[in-house]
Amino acid sequence: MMTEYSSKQRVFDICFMLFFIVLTSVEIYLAMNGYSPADFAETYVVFTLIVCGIVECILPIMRITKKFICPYWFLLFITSVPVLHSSTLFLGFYKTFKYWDIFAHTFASIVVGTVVFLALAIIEHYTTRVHLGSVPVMMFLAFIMSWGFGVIWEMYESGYDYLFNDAAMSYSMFDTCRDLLISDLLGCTLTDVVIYLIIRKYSLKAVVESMNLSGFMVAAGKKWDKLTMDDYQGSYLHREKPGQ
Amino acid sequence: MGSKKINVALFVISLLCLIISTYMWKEIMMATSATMVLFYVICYIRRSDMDLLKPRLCLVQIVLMAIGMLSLWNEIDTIASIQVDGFLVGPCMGLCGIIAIEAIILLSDVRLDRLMYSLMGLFSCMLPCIFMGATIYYPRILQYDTVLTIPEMEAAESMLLNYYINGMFYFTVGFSVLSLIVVNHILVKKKVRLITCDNVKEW
Repeated sequence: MMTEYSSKQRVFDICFMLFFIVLTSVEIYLAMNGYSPADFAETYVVFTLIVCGIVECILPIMRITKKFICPYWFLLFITSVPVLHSSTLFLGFYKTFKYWDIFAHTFASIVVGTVVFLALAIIEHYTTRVHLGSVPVMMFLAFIMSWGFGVIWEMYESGYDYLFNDAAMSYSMFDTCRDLLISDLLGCTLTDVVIYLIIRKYSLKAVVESMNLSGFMVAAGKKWDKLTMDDYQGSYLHREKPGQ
Repeated sequence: MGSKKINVALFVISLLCLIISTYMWKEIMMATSATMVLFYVICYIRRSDMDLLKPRLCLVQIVLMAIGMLSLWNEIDTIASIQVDGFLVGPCMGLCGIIAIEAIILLSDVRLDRLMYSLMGLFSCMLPCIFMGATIYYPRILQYDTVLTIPEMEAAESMLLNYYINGMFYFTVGFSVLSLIVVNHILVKKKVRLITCDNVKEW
């Protein structure tokens, strides 16, 4: 079963992408002309807006080129992070609101944690080469990976400041600690709790199949498993896993 | 000397390292040696014998632990020594990550391929760095304005945070990643595994 992708959806995706491009372009223009209320260096704001703008366009482009046709809720969920970060940076929320930084990091952790868990669940579901065990083990692995992703982000923040001799991203070492040990920890924990509740109500299989990735992922799973079409007997539902 | 005796010896060394580092309160060494001890215990419980670990790789781990411990012996208060410390301890942390993943594989029915193994190890080796930060951050927010005055706390915090976060965190993470890639590359190329685990079949 191939995932359907109509011309109507394509038009919608193009509009979606154009919206991000226009939004980012306007913000960049305003920031370069000193209209941004953010109390940051202009180069930093513009640099961040460009990076976020690129990230926002990745998933729509992948949909348009039929490389990865994910559901719209997933697309909105992922792109909400760069949109939220870039827009609120432009509007100066990080300096205006005391706890905005904590909220932004927590929200980003929730999104990253969810994406990591879904990625693991999809890999588990569509391949035989990798077996990630039970749901609690997968949740634990997702927790480790999403928290570790927070470390990578902190390294990026520090790396930016080091390269550009600035203090825009990593305000202090204490800020790094707070991001990792409060915001990211909270985000990862919340994600695991919500995932647990969802999996308990529905099944892991139902959650993965709601992504409607079967056409794309069956092919990718077979490629990962290094199986030919002849080797691949039946659907992914009939594969054997250890302990089954 | 048989590999069983070597493993028993390494277990004893790990245990000694854990005791000494706990006595000296050297968090990094505590984490490293505790991981090793835990790993041996898991192996023992799971397979009922100690002849599971590849002695040479464990020896590397022990040597790195010893280097790290020696580097932590002196009080570190200069940027140069902080960097050196990070360089030395980084590979230890990288191996910790690998061992953590091996422990997860042993404890569950997880079966990973080379890519997933590398990815999991990469992320898990960052966790000790977070825990290092936690040893500073949580006491700070719990004791703020009660045990120390704010200026005293800020002075101590500045020194400690620079030491732990700047020195350890970034250098350690950077070199953990590097060591993980190198070690994993060697493991894969030479088809050597840290443990004789049936779960890691496909590379």
